[in-house]
Amino acid sequence: MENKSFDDIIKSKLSQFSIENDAQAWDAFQESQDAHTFDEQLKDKVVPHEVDVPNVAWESFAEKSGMISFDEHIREKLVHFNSEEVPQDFDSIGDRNAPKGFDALIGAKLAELNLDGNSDWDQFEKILEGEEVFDERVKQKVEDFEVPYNGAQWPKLSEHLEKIEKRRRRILITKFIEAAVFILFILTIMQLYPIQNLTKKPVYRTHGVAEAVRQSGNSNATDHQNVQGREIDQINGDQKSSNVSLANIKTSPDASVESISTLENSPTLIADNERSANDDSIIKSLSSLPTIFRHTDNPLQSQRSFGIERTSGEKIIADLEAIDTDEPEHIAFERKEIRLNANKDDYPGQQPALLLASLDIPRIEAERRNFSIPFKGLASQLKNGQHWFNLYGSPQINMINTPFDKSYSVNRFINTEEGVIEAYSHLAEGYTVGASISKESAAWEVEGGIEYTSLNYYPKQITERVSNATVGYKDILLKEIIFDLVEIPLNIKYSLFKKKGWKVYGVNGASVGVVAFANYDIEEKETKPLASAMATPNQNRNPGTFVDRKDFDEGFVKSRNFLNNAYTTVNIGVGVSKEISDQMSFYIQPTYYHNLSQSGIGPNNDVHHRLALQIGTKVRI
Amino acid sequence: MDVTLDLQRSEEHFIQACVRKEKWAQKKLYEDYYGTMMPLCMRYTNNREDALDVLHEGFIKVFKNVNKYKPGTSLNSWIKRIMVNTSIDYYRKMSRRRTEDLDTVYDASTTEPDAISEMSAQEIIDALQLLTPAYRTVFNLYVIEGYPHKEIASILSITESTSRSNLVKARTKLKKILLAKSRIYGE
Repeated sequence: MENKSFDDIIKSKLSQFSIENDAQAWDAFQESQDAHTFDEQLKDKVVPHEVDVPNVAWESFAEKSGMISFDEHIREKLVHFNSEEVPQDFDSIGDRNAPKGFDALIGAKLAELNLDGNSDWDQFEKILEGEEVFDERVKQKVEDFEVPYNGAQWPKLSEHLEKIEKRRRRILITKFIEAAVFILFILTIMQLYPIQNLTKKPVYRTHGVAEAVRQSGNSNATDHQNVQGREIDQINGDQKSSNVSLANIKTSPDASVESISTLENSPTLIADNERSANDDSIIKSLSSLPTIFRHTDNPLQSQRSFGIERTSGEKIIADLEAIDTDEPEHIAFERKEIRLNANKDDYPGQQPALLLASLDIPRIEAERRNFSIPFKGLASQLKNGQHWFNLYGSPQINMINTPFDKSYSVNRFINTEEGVIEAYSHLAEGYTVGASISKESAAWEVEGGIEYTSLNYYPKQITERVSNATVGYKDILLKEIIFDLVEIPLNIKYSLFKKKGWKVYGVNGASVGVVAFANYDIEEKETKPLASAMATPNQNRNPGTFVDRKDFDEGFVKSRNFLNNAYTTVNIGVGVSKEISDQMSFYIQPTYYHNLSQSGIGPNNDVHHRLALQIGTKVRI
Repeated sequence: MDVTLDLQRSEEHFIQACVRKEKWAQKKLYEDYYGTMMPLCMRYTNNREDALDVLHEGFIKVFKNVNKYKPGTSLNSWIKRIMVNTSIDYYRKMSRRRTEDLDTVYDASTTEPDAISEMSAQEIIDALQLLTPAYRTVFNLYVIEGYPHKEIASILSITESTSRSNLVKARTKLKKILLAKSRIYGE
């Protein structure tokens, strides 16, 4: 109901709505019509107008571009340009009725320019001369000017130069370490993936007497060939006089390790030029020999492992590692026999224990060496040891222990609420590079050398405000301590495990160190001028600063004070080394250094302990 | 002749000590050339502090490259060239930070050479420091160091016409500043 009444109301309102007659509406409409007429007239004028200037190209372009009407309007305007339209001021030359271009108009204006007689060369020359005189006078004044030397500036530059030099040294050392690590990496890769064609395998020498023996029911014929001092590829029991031959044990460059290690199962290794009727059975039995020849060395090394062991769990006949062929006279030999425990039924007519071969094996008892009592016979072992030159670097983490510092007193500091500076510890990074010479024999290695350690750290930031009679208040802050340390270490290493070029060892030692150079970054800032300082007399004022009270030793090289700069450490660590050739090995050695000094070093008497990861390379010398 | 040889040997010894980075030699070189090089740096910079920075930067280059110096030639010229190059580096750094002065050229054709004569070198340097780096550098290189516009354009990576234009602007502005200063002092 309500909706209907609303609709009715709207309807009745609309039906009553009418617009009053506007008397001006018609005039407005008429006017618009006139305007239309004006446009029409203009169009009539413009459109049929023929252009006098023949310009086919322009029309063609305009047609194509669809702008013909606009362009035509413009062109019409230009063609019918009337110089009369030009203001009188611009029309000063030539025929007034002639059309004038823009250039002509400008030219006219320039011609009217009145220079008052100054437009000649003399005027210009005068200007130039004036400039020359000006330049010359300024130059003279400035060029000969000198300022008096200010001695206060040199220390700043000197300090800056030292920092630059230190940075340069650090970069050099870092690059050196990077290069060393890179070389080690490359050598390791080469070790893991040797380039066979580029690396000539060495020809090994060993010592021994190989005998190929055949015991048969008919005879005890023995072939004996002494090959001591000859190349191992000539240790060859393949002699024609024997019916049974020892395997061709070849380790010449052409022979591979596998050809030896598969001797056990490879009857083809048995030379068989003169087989007897029993040879087949012997070959067959030989293939099941409980004895294997093991070749465990690396083809890149001139040393080799060559052993005979029984896989049946019986005692090891011999286990030879790393025969140093350069010193054959130091090797003792022990004759070992290889027997075939043949079943009598299988080999009718032959003795049960068939002696196949005997070898004179160099005797080095690896087991006894590995588990020998430490220090027993160390001196005698070292007599015959080998020397190494070691080069290493180590990133490290230092634990800096700063004791309670009584040189600071209460109310002197603006940034310490506690007033008293208690002892504190914090960590700082550093690095060490070093070189050493070591002597190694059997399980022992004694090492001595020299190390450089760079140690920078930020002590607790304590700003001290003091007053100065001439300038007012001054804030002083010891921001950074920079030490260059030199240490002389003496270490003993003991081999815990050694196999296939890998060695695990423990290291223990001590070193004496000295602060060679010490630099301190001390920031001084004037915070209040004298007038302001005088206006606040309640503020604590002390004539001296911690710089005056503490001992800022510049290091042993400058101060020549050894005791003030010296410290001692003991260290303990473990290391792993890997021989990558007979001349070189590399190692990694985490070591903890404990500082024994009580007095500490530097102005805060800091005692630093460190944990270092020593990475190095050893070269046999 | 002997005196010349002795001097040469002495200079060689001194330079070798600088090459070895010996502090006494470095300090002596600094002391000897501070007086002449500092004003040079002041001419190229906005203020004394910047000049000191440029001077120290220049000396660091001198100490770093002193092994390249050929004994027998003018050490002063060699150091001066390094200082000028360092100042140009300073200009490049400044020109990256600041917008160029687009001041119109004032009509300062009125030169008053006498007024300049009466001014001290410090005042002229102060006036130079009021110029924009672009104007100041071109003015210094052209008027004081005697570089041709072609070389200035090459050094500053600008066109020759810009170099000429900057010189004219620098000169005009400098005249104006000096004139103003002389009037102030005159009053």
